[in-house]
Amino acid sequence: MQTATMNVTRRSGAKKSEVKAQRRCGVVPAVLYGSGGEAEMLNIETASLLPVLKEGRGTTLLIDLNIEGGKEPVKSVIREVQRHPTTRDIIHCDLLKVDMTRKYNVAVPVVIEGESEGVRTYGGIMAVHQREIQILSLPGEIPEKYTIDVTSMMVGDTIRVDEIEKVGNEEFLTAGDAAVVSIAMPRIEEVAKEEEAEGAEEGAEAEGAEEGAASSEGGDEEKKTEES
Amino acid sequence: MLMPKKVKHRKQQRGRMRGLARRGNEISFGDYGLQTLEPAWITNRQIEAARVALTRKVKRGGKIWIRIFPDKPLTQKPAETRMGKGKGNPESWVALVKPGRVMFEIEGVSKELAQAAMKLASAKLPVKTQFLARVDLAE
Repeated sequence: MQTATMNVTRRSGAKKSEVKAQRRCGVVPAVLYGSGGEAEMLNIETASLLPVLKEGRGTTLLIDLNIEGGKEPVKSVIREVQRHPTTRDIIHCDLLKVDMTRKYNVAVPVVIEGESEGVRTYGGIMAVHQREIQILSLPGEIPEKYTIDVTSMMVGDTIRVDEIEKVGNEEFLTAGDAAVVSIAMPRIEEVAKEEEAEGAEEGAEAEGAEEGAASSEGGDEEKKTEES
Repeated sequence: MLMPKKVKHRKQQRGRMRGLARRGNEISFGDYGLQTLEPAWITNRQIEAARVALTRKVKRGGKIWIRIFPDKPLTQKPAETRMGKGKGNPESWVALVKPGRVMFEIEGVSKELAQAAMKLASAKLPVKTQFLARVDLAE
């Protein structure tokens, strides 16, 4: 379990105009709640928040919050980060105050390692079904990530939640039979007749040649993989 | 081409395209996505053209998701018709997108290939777009 430290200040203004002005100054509005206490409005410097969020570890990191004017650091985890839809700037951050003796529901990221034999040799497609595993764990024992080595996976193989090695005493909340990663054969789709006709029209000079071209071109290489 | 199987009402009012996409603005399924930066009506023909461009570029391998659906009917009056006499006939279907909407996602290909495929798909769409990549632990 990794920990980080963040210096934060208390926020007084809750008005939209005030919050917007703070964002322009490089400050992210945040809220701290949980453990029975009242919610507190905070300000976090964007520069100190970004390293914590780097590499997607935000929700599994135990953070010591040094609140300005506070006596001792507050243990917390990031619950949610809101981002602007197009600029991806951080708009708001939710922090959960944690009790170190109580178990919490946390989403731990899944990291895929290596290139599968089925993909490399047989042209299979790797599908990641679960990018996060929901667990119930003590704040001090939250794993940083679950690493899955797919090197030996062949086409048709599936790794399920049950097969993931636990790091500590955490309990999986995601169903045990849920697939995490699988290797499937690519599906082949015939190109629609419309497309064939279009292609033939471009190539053929006479109308009579159009039909022949469409039928002859259709079979050979105009096949492709198809998504869902 | 994509269109609803059944609709409650054949014709719709046009509406406005204000604001940002509050939903569907994150990569949810794949590794890479194509996000619109402008509001627009995307027709089912444009969606199909973009899909074909994507699948042809990635060839074998890769999985594609289309995250918009053309559920809004567009009507058109016949040529050389006088104004009035009611609303025109439904002719095509469009998807309304607002800035931030992730329209296509792709998985199982390299970043370079995904970027090239999305560029081709973007050329089929009437909007400015942005390529998105999932923030990954491995990166």
